[in-house]
Amino acid sequence: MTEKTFEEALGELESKVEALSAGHLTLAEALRTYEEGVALVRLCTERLDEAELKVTRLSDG
Amino acid sequence: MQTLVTAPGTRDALSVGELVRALRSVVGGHPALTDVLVRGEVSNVSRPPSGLAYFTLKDADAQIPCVMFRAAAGALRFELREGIEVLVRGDVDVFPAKGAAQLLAREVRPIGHGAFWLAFEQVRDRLAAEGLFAAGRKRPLPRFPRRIGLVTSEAGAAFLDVLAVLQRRYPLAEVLVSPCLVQGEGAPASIAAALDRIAGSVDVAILARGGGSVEDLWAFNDEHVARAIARFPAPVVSAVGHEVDVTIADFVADVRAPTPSAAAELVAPDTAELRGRVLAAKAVLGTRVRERLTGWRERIRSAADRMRPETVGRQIHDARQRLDAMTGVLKREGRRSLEGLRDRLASVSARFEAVSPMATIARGFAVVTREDGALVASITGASPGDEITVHVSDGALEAVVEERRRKGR
Repeated sequence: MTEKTFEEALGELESKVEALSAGHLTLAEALRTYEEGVALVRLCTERLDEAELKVTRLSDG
Repeated sequence: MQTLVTAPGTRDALSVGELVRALRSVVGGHPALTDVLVRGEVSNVSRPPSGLAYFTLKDADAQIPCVMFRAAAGALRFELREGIEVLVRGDVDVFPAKGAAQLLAREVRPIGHGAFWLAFEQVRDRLAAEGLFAAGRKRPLPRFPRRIGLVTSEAGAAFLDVLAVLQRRYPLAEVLVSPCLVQGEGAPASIAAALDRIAGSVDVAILARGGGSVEDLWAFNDEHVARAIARFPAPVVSAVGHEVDVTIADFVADVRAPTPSAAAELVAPDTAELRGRVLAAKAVLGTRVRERLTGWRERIRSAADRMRPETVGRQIHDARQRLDAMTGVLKREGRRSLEGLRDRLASVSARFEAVSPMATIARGFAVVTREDGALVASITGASPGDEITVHVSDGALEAVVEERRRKGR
Protein backbone atom coordinates (compact mmCIF):
# COMPACT_ATOMS: atom_id res chain seq x y z
CA MET A 1 0.00 0.00 0.00
CA THR A 2 1.27 3.46 -0.83
CA GLU A 3 1.90 5.96 1.93
CA LYS A 4 -1.40 7.42 3.04
CA THR A 5 -1.48 11.13 3.86
CA PHE A 6 -3.00 12.38 7.07
CA GLU A 7 -5.91 13.94 5.21
CA GLU A 8 -6.67 10.72 3.35
CA ALA A 9 -6.51 8.73 6.57
CA LEU A 10 -8.79 11.19 8.38
CA GLY A 11 -11.25 11.15 5.49
CA GLU A 12 -11.33 7.36 5.49
CA LEU A 13 -11.72 7.25 9.24
CA GLU A 14 -14.71 9.57 9.08
CA SER A 15 -16.38 7.59 6.32
CA LYS A 16 -15.90 4.39 8.37
CA VAL A 17 -17.60 6.04 11.34
CA GLU A 18 -20.46 6.95 9.03
CA ALA A 19 -20.74 3.45 7.59
CA LEU A 20 -20.79 1.94 11.04
CA SER A 21 -23.42 4.46 12.20
CA ALA A 22 -25.66 3.81 9.21
CA GLY A 23 -26.09 0.25 10.48
CA HIS A 24 -26.53 -1.87 7.38
CA LEU A 25 -23.25 -3.75 7.67
CA THR A 26 -23.11 -7.45 8.44
CA LEU A 27 -21.47 -8.49 11.69
CA ALA A 28 -18.26 -9.41 9.87
CA GLU A 29 -18.25 -6.14 7.96
CA ALA A 30 -18.92 -4.13 11.11
CA LEU A 31 -16.07 -5.76 12.97
CA ARG A 32 -13.71 -5.31 10.04
CA THR A 33 -14.77 -1.65 9.70
CA TYR A 34 -14.10 -1.13 13.38
CA GLU A 35 -10.66 -2.71 13.19
CA GLU A 36 -9.75 -0.65 10.14
CA GLY A 37 -11.05 2.45 11.89
CA VAL A 38 -8.87 1.81 14.92
CA ALA A 39 -5.85 1.32 12.64
CA LEU A 40 -6.64 4.66 10.97
CA VAL A 41 -6.90 6.38 14.35
CA ARG A 42 -3.45 5.06 15.16
CA LEU A 43 -2.09 6.18 11.79
CA CYS A 44 -3.57 9.68 12.12
CA THR A 45 -2.23 10.08 15.63
CA GLU A 46 1.23 8.92 14.59
CA ARG A 47 1.25 11.31 11.65
CA LEU A 48 0.38 14.20 13.96
CA ASP A 49 2.98 13.17 16.53
CA GLU A 50 5.77 12.79 14.00
CA ALA A 51 4.96 15.77 11.80
CA GLU A 52 7.62 18.37 11.36
CA LEU A 53 7.26 21.28 8.98
CA LYS A 54 9.25 20.68 5.84
CA VAL A 55 10.65 23.89 4.39
CA THR A 56 12.00 24.00 0.85
CA ARG A 57 13.62 27.13 -0.47
CA LEU A 58 13.49 27.97 -4.13
CA SER A 59 16.38 29.97 -5.47
CA ASP A 60 15.35 33.26 -6.94
CA GLY A 61 15.81 33.94 -10.62
CA MET B 1 11.64 108.05 -37.71
CA GLN B 2 13.27 105.05 -39.23
CA THR B 3 11.66 101.66 -39.42
CA LEU B 4 13.45 98.37 -39.46
CA VAL B 5 12.26 97.70 -42.96
CA THR B 6 13.76 100.78 -44.45
CA ALA B 7 16.90 100.59 -42.39
CA PRO B 8 20.12 99.79 -44.19
CA GLY B 9 22.40 96.96 -43.19
CA THR B 10 20.25 93.90 -44.06
CA ARG B 11 23.49 92.04 -43.77
CA ASP B 12 23.33 92.62 -40.02
CA ALA B 13 19.87 90.92 -39.65
CA LEU B 14 19.77 87.74 -37.56
CA SER B 15 18.45 84.52 -38.98
CA VAL B 16 15.61 82.95 -37.00
CA GLY B 17 17.92 80.17 -36.00
CA GLU B 18 20.41 82.65 -34.67
CA LEU B 19 17.74 84.42 -32.68
CA VAL B 20 16.40 81.24 -31.19
CA ARG B 21 19.90 80.04 -30.42
CA ALA B 22 20.51 83.35 -28.71
CA LEU B 23 17.36 82.92 -26.76
CA ARG B 24 18.33 79.39 -25.89
CA SER B 25 21.78 80.47 -24.74
CA VAL B 26 20.19 82.93 -22.35
CA VAL B 27 17.45 80.65 -21.10
CA GLY B 28 19.18 77.27 -21.10
CA GLY B 29 21.29 76.84 -18.04
CA HIS B 30 20.14 80.09 -16.48
CA PRO B 31 20.38 79.53 -12.72
CA ALA B 32 16.84 80.84 -12.15
CA LEU B 33 15.50 78.43 -14.77
CA THR B 34 17.54 75.33 -13.91
CA ASP B 35 16.32 72.66 -11.49
CA VAL B 36 13.21 74.62 -10.78
CA LEU B 37 10.25 73.33 -8.85
CA VAL B 38 6.95 74.47 -10.33
CA ARG B 39 3.48 73.93 -9.13
CA GLY B 40 0.56 73.82 -11.52
CA GLU B 41 -2.33 72.00 -13.07
CA VAL B 42 -1.87 69.40 -15.78
CA SER B 43 -3.67 69.74 -19.10
CA ASN B 44 -3.35 68.63 -22.75
CA VAL B 45 -1.66 65.36 -21.86
CA SER B 46 -0.24 63.43 -24.78
CA ARG B 47 1.62 60.13 -24.52
CA PRO B 48 2.76 59.05 -27.97
CA PRO B 49 4.20 55.56 -28.53
CA SER B 50 7.69 57.01 -28.41
CA GLY B 51 7.41 56.84 -24.62
CA LEU B 52 7.76 60.57 -24.14
CA ALA B 53 5.09 62.46 -22.29
CA TYR B 54 3.84 65.90 -23.25
CA PHE B 55 1.57 68.11 -21.23
CA THR B 56 0.90 71.70 -20.42
CA LEU B 57 1.36 73.03 -16.93
CA LYS B 58 -0.89 75.94 -16.16
CA ASP B 59 -2.46 78.09 -13.52
CA ALA B 60 -5.07 80.82 -13.60
CA ASP B 61 -3.11 83.23 -15.77
CA ALA B 62 -0.23 81.42 -17.49
CA GLN B 63 0.91 78.15 -19.01
CA ILE B 64 4.07 76.43 -20.17
CA PRO B 65 4.53 73.33 -22.30
CA CYS B 66 6.28 70.43 -20.58
CA VAL B 67 8.00 67.36 -21.92
CA MET B 68 9.21 64.26 -20.08
CA PHE B 69 11.79 61.99 -21.58
CA ARG B 70 11.21 58.28 -21.66
CA ALA B 71 13.04 57.32 -18.47
CA ALA B 72 11.26 59.96 -16.43
CA ALA B 73 7.87 59.21 -17.98
CA GLY B 74 8.32 55.48 -17.36
CA ALA B 75 9.06 56.11 -13.69
CA LEU B 76 5.71 57.85 -13.14
CA ARG B 77 3.76 56.00 -10.45
CA PHE B 78 0.48 57.53 -11.45
CA GLU B 79 -1.32 58.47 -14.59
CA LEU B 80 -0.82 62.02 -15.83
CA ARG B 81 -4.35 63.21 -16.08
CA GLU B 82 -6.14 66.38 -17.03
CA GLY B 83 -6.78 68.63 -14.07
CA ILE B 84 -4.53 67.13 -11.41
CA GLU B 85 -2.28 69.35 -9.35
CA VAL B 86 1.39 68.47 -9.60
CA LEU B 87 4.84 69.54 -8.58
CA VAL B 88 7.26 69.45 -11.48
CA ARG B 89 11.02 69.53 -11.11
CA GLY B 90 13.02 70.25 -14.23
CA ASP B 91 14.87 72.73 -16.41
CA VAL B 92 13.59 75.32 -18.80
CA ASP B 93 14.89 75.11 -22.32
CA VAL B 94 13.94 76.41 -25.73
CA PHE B 95 12.76 74.00 -28.39
CA PRO B 96 14.22 75.42 -31.64
CA ALA B 97 11.61 73.97 -33.97
CA LYS B 98 8.90 75.82 -32.08
CA GLY B 99 10.91 78.75 -30.88
CA ALA B 100 9.24 78.47 -27.54
CA ALA B 101 10.44 77.82 -24.04
CA GLN B 102 9.40 74.55 -22.42
CA LEU B 103 9.94 72.77 -19.18
CA LEU B 104 11.91 69.53 -19.37
CA ALA B 105 10.27 67.70 -16.49
CA ARG B 106 12.54 65.24 -14.78
CA GLU B 107 10.12 64.42 -12.01
CA VAL B 108 6.40 64.95 -11.59
CA ARG B 109 4.60 64.27 -8.33
CA PRO B 110 0.98 64.71 -7.42
CA ILE B 111 0.57 67.36 -4.80
CA GLY B 112 -0.48 66.95 -1.24
CA HIS B 113 -0.97 64.29 1.34
CA GLY B 114 -2.96 62.10 -1.03
CA ALA B 115 -0.23 61.94 -3.65
CA PHE B 116 0.25 58.19 -3.25
CA TRP B 117 -3.44 57.67 -3.07
CA LEU B 118 -3.96 59.21 -6.44
CA ALA B 119 -1.77 56.55 -8.05
CA PHE B 120 -3.33 53.95 -5.83
CA GLU B 121 -6.83 54.91 -6.85
CA GLN B 122 -5.93 55.00 -10.50
CA VAL B 123 -4.52 51.46 -10.48
CA ARG B 124 -7.35 50.27 -8.27
CA ASP B 125 -10.04 51.74 -10.50
CA ARG B 126 -8.50 50.31 -13.64
CA LEU B 127 -8.18 46.80 -12.23
CA ALA B 128 -11.64 47.00 -10.68
CA ALA B 129 -13.05 47.91 -14.10
CA GLU B 130 -11.37 44.79 -15.46
CA GLY B 131 -13.14 42.75 -12.81
CA LEU B 132 -9.98 41.61 -11.02
CA PHE B 133 -11.50 42.27 -7.60
CA ALA B 134 -14.83 40.59 -8.33
CA ALA B 135 -16.18 38.45 -5.52
CA GLY B 136 -16.85 35.71 -8.07
CA ARG B 137 -13.10 35.37 -8.67
CA LYS B 138 -12.33 34.58 -5.03
CA ARG B 139 -11.36 30.97 -4.53
CA PRO B 140 -11.91 29.08 -1.29
CA LEU B 141 -8.82 27.99 0.64
CA PRO B 142 -8.05 24.27 0.61
CA ARG B 143 -8.95 22.50 3.85
CA PHE B 144 -5.73 20.52 4.08
CA PRO B 145 -3.05 22.21 1.97
CA ARG B 146 -0.20 19.78 1.30
CA ARG B 147 2.17 22.39 -0.11
CA ILE B 148 2.04 26.00 0.99
CA GLY B 149 3.86 28.67 -1.00
CA LEU B 150 5.44 31.53 0.91
CA VAL B 151 6.36 34.59 -1.12
CA THR B 152 8.24 37.12 0.99
CA SER B 153 11.68 38.43 1.85
CA GLU B 154 13.75 35.96 3.83
CA ALA B 155 15.19 38.89 5.75
CA GLY B 156 11.82 40.03 7.02
CA ALA B 157 10.06 39.23 10.26
CA ALA B 158 7.03 38.09 8.27
CA PHE B 159 9.03 35.11 7.00
CA LEU B 160 9.78 33.77 10.47
CA ASP B 161 6.30 34.62 11.77
CA VAL B 162 4.62 32.58 9.07
CA LEU B 163 6.96 29.59 9.48
CA ALA B 164 6.49 29.61 13.26
CA VAL B 165 2.70 29.53 12.99
CA LEU B 166 2.76 26.79 10.36
CA GLN B 167 5.14 24.66 12.45
CA ARG B 168 2.89 25.05 15.48
CA ARG B 169 -0.46 24.56 13.77
CA TYR B 170 0.09 22.33 10.81
CA PRO B 171 3.49 20.66 10.60
CA LEU B 172 2.00 18.14 8.16
CA ALA B 173 2.52 20.61 5.35
CA GLU B 174 5.49 21.35 3.17
CA VAL B 175 6.38 25.02 2.74
CA LEU B 176 7.83 26.23 -0.53
CA VAL B 177 9.64 29.49 0.10
CA SER B 178 9.93 31.71 -2.94
CA PRO B 179 12.06 34.68 -1.88
CA CYS B 180 11.60 38.14 -3.34
CA LEU B 181 12.36 41.79 -2.77
CA VAL B 182 9.53 43.45 -0.89
CA GLN B 183 10.47 47.07 -1.36
CA GLY B 184 12.36 49.30 -3.72
CA GLU B 185 12.56 49.71 -7.43
CA GLY B 186 12.81 46.05 -8.42
CA ALA B 187 10.28 44.76 -5.89
CA PRO B 188 7.17 44.56 -8.12
CA ALA B 189 8.94 42.50 -10.79
CA SER B 190 10.61 40.37 -8.11
CA ILE B 191 7.29 39.64 -6.35
CA ALA B 192 5.57 38.77 -9.63
CA ALA B 193 8.44 36.45 -10.59
CA ALA B 194 8.43 34.80 -7.15
CA LEU B 195 4.72 34.06 -7.51
CA ASP B 196 5.10 32.75 -11.05
CA ARG B 197 7.95 30.50 -9.91
CA ILE B 198 5.74 28.46 -7.58
CA ALA B 199 2.61 28.58 -9.74
CA GLY B 200 1.32 25.04 -10.13
CA SER B 201 3.51 23.64 -7.32
CA VAL B 202 1.45 24.68 -4.30
CA ASP B 203 -2.14 24.32 -3.07
CA VAL B 204 -2.19 27.83 -1.64
CA ALA B 205 0.22 30.77 -1.42
CA ILE B 206 0.89 33.41 1.20
CA LEU B 207 2.17 36.77 -0.01
CA ALA B 208 3.56 38.49 3.05
CA ARG B 209 5.44 41.57 4.13
CA GLY B 210 5.85 43.11 7.56
CA GLY B 211 4.76 46.62 8.45
CA GLY B 212 6.27 49.74 6.93
CA SER B 213 5.53 53.18 5.58
CA VAL B 214 3.19 53.67 2.65
CA GLU B 215 6.31 54.02 0.47
CA ASP B 216 7.74 50.77 1.87
CA LEU B 217 4.59 48.88 0.97
CA TRP B 218 4.29 50.52 -2.41
CA ALA B 219 5.36 47.49 -4.44
CA PHE B 220 2.16 45.75 -3.35
CA ASN B 221 0.12 48.41 -5.12
CA ASP B 222 1.86 47.68 -8.38
CA GLU B 223 -0.17 46.47 -11.29
CA HIS B 224 2.33 43.71 -12.15
CA VAL B 225 1.98 42.25 -8.68
CA ALA B 226 -1.81 42.46 -8.94
CA ARG B 227 -1.78 40.61 -12.25
CA ALA B 228 0.61 37.93 -10.96
CA ILE B 229 -1.82 37.28 -8.09
CA ALA B 230 -4.78 37.19 -10.45
CA ARG B 231 -3.17 34.61 -12.73
CA PHE B 232 -1.86 32.45 -9.88
CA PRO B 233 -3.51 29.02 -10.26
CA ALA B 234 -4.11 28.46 -6.54
CA PRO B 235 -5.71 30.70 -3.92
CA VAL B 236 -3.49 33.54 -2.65
CA VAL B 237 -3.66 34.98 0.85
CA SER B 238 -2.22 38.49 1.13
CA ALA B 239 -0.76 39.80 4.34
CA VAL B 240 0.95 43.10 3.76
CA GLY B 241 1.90 45.45 6.56
CA HIS B 242 -0.36 45.91 9.52
CA GLU B 243 -4.10 45.55 9.72
CA VAL B 244 -4.68 49.21 8.75
CA ASP B 245 -2.62 48.95 5.57
CA VAL B 246 -4.63 48.07 2.55
CA THR B 247 -2.89 47.44 -0.76
CA ILE B 248 -4.02 46.60 -4.25
CA ALA B 249 -2.59 43.11 -3.66
CA ASP B 250 -5.18 42.70 -0.88
CA PHE B 251 -8.00 43.47 -3.31
CA VAL B 252 -6.84 40.92 -5.87
CA ALA B 253 -5.93 38.20 -3.36
CA ASP B 254 -8.50 35.51 -2.65
CA VAL B 255 -8.26 36.23 1.06
CA ARG B 256 -6.78 39.21 2.85
CA ALA B 257 -5.18 38.54 6.20
CA PRO B 258 -4.52 41.39 8.64
CA THR B 259 -0.96 40.17 9.38
CA PRO B 260 1.45 37.49 8.12
CA SER B 261 0.80 35.37 11.24
CA ALA B 262 -2.93 35.62 10.65
CA ALA B 263 -2.38 34.51 7.05
CA ALA B 264 -0.59 31.40 8.27
CA GLU B 265 -3.44 30.68 10.66
CA LEU B 266 -6.01 31.06 7.87
CA VAL B 267 -4.07 28.74 5.59
CA ALA B 268 -3.21 26.00 8.06
CA PRO B 269 -5.80 23.91 9.86
CA ASP B 270 -5.04 23.57 13.55
CA THR B 271 -3.40 20.26 14.40
CA ALA B 272 -4.92 20.34 17.91
CA GLU B 273 -8.34 20.58 16.29
CA LEU B 274 -7.45 17.71 13.96
CA ARG B 275 -6.31 15.59 16.88
CA GLY B 276 -9.68 16.31 18.48
CA ARG B 277 -11.43 15.11 15.35
CA VAL B 278 -9.43 11.90 15.31
CA LEU B 279 -10.24 11.24 18.96
CA ALA B 280 -13.92 12.02 18.41
CA ALA B 281 -13.99 9.62 15.47
CA LYS B 282 -12.34 6.98 17.63
CA ALA B 283 -14.95 7.42 20.37
CA VAL B 284 -17.86 7.26 17.95
CA LEU B 285 -16.33 4.20 16.31
CA GLY B 286 -16.20 2.40 19.67
CA THR B 287 -19.72 3.41 20.68
CA ARG B 288 -21.20 2.38 17.37
CA VAL B 289 -19.55 -1.02 17.25
CA ARG B 290 -20.71 -1.70 20.85
CA GLU B 291 -24.25 -0.67 19.90
CA ARG B 292 -24.19 -2.92 16.90
CA LEU B 293 -22.88 -5.86 18.95
CA THR B 294 -25.57 -5.31 21.60
CA GLY B 295 -28.16 -5.25 18.84
CA TRP B 296 -26.99 -8.54 17.43
CA ARG B 297 -26.80 -10.14 20.90
CA GLU B 298 -30.40 -9.05 21.41
CA ARG B 299 -31.48 -10.69 18.19
CA ILE B 300 -29.68 -13.94 19.08
CA ARG B 301 -31.35 -13.99 22.53
CA SER B 302 -34.80 -13.52 21.06
CA ALA B 303 -34.11 -16.24 18.46
CA ALA B 304 -32.98 -18.61 21.24
CA ASP B 305 -36.14 -17.78 23.19
CA ARG B 306 -38.25 -18.87 20.29
CA MET B 307 -36.40 -22.21 20.10
CA ARG B 308 -37.18 -23.36 23.72
CA PRO B 309 -39.45 -26.59 24.10
CA GLU B 310 -42.23 -24.80 25.96
CA THR B 311 -42.28 -22.11 23.30
CA VAL B 312 -42.35 -24.74 20.59
CA GLY B 313 -45.12 -26.71 22.45
CA ARG B 314 -47.17 -23.56 22.73
CA GLN B 315 -46.66 -22.91 19.08
CA ILE B 316 -47.87 -26.45 18.20
CA HIS B 317 -50.93 -26.00 20.40
CA ASP B 318 -51.64 -22.67 18.76
CA ALA B 319 -51.24 -24.22 15.35
CA ARG B 320 -53.63 -27.02 16.20
CA GLN B 321 -56.26 -24.55 17.40
CA ARG B 322 -55.89 -22.61 14.21
CA LEU B 323 -56.26 -25.88 12.26
CA ASP B 324 -59.47 -26.76 14.15
CA ALA B 325 -60.90 -23.39 13.53
CA MET B 326 -60.08 -23.72 9.88
CA THR B 327 -61.72 -27.15 9.67
CA GLY B 328 -64.95 -25.74 11.13
CA VAL B 329 -64.90 -22.93 8.66
CA LEU B 330 -64.29 -25.37 5.83
CA LYS B 331 -67.21 -27.59 6.82
CA ARG B 332 -69.56 -24.69 7.11
CA GLU B 333 -68.43 -23.33 3.80
CA GLY B 334 -68.76 -26.78 2.19
CA ARG B 335 -72.33 -27.17 3.36
CA ARG B 336 -73.21 -23.75 2.21
CA SER B 337 -71.87 -24.39 -1.25
CA LEU B 338 -73.66 -27.77 -1.52
CA GLU B 339 -76.99 -26.11 -0.79
CA GLY B 340 -76.19 -23.51 -3.37
CA LEU B 341 -75.52 -26.19 -5.96
CA ARG B 342 -78.80 -27.89 -5.16
CA ASP B 343 -80.71 -24.66 -5.64
CA ARG B 344 -78.97 -24.02 -8.91
CA LEU B 345 -79.80 -27.58 -10.09
CA ALA B 346 -83.50 -27.13 -9.28
CA SER B 347 -83.63 -23.89 -11.18
CA VAL B 348 -81.80 -25.36 -14.16
CA SER B 349 -84.08 -28.45 -14.31
CA ALA B 350 -87.18 -26.27 -14.10
CA ARG B 351 -85.96 -24.27 -17.07
CA PHE B 352 -85.09 -27.51 -18.80
CA GLU B 353 -88.62 -28.93 -18.22
CA ALA B 354 -90.07 -25.88 -19.84
CA VAL B 355 -88.25 -26.50 -23.10
CA SER B 356 -88.53 -30.32 -23.03
CA PRO B 357 -90.42 -31.96 -25.96
CA MET B 358 -92.48 -33.78 -23.36
CA ALA B 359 -93.97 -30.49 -22.32
CA THR B 360 -95.00 -29.90 -25.96
CA ILE B 361 -96.65 -33.32 -26.08
CA ALA B 362 -98.60 -32.46 -22.98
CA ARG B 363 -100.17 -29.65 -24.95
CA GLY B 364 -101.66 -32.20 -27.49
CA PHE B 365 -98.82 -32.73 -29.93
CA ALA B 366 -97.39 -36.19 -30.68
CA VAL B 367 -93.92 -37.53 -31.49
CA VAL B 368 -93.52 -40.26 -34.13
CA THR B 369 -90.63 -42.70 -34.05
CA ARG B 370 -89.61 -45.57 -36.24
CA GLU B 371 -88.99 -49.09 -35.09
CA ASP B 372 -85.30 -48.25 -34.68
CA GLY B 373 -86.25 -45.31 -32.41
CA ALA B 374 -85.35 -42.57 -34.89
CA LEU B 375 -87.64 -39.55 -35.00
CA VAL B 376 -89.88 -39.25 -38.06
CA ALA B 377 -89.88 -35.60 -39.01
CA SER B 378 -90.58 -35.92 -42.75
CA ILE B 379 -92.63 -38.12 -45.12
CA THR B 380 -89.35 -39.60 -46.23
CA GLY B 381 -88.77 -40.87 -42.69
CA ALA B 382 -91.10 -43.85 -43.20
CA SER B 383 -92.53 -45.82 -46.09
CA PRO B 384 -96.05 -47.28 -46.48
CA GLY B 385 -96.15 -50.51 -44.54
CA ASP B 386 -93.58 -49.43 -41.91
CA GLU B 387 -94.59 -49.80 -38.31
CA ILE B 388 -94.30 -46.57 -36.36
CA THR B 389 -94.88 -45.50 -32.77
CA VAL B 390 -96.97 -42.41 -31.95
CA HIS B 391 -95.94 -41.00 -28.54
CA VAL B 392 -98.58 -38.96 -26.74
CA SER B 393 -98.62 -37.54 -23.24
CA ASP B 394 -99.77 -40.59 -21.40
CA GLY B 395 -98.31 -43.42 -23.54
CA ALA B 396 -97.86 -44.56 -27.12
CA LEU B 397 -99.95 -45.82 -30.06
CA GLU B 398 -98.47 -48.48 -32.35
CA ALA B 399 -99.48 -47.78 -36.03
CA VAL B 400 -98.71 -48.78 -39.65
CA VAL B 401 -98.06 -46.24 -42.43
CA GLU B 402 -100.69 -46.56 -45.16
CA GLU B 403 -99.83 -43.85 -47.57
CA ARG B 404 -97.20 -41.13 -48.10
CA ARG B 405 -98.77 -37.82 -49.02
CA ARG B 406 -96.70 -34.70 -49.79
CA LYS B 407 -97.87 -31.32 -48.51
CA GLY B 408 -99.63 -29.06 -51.00
CA ARG B 409 -100.94 -31.94 -53.30
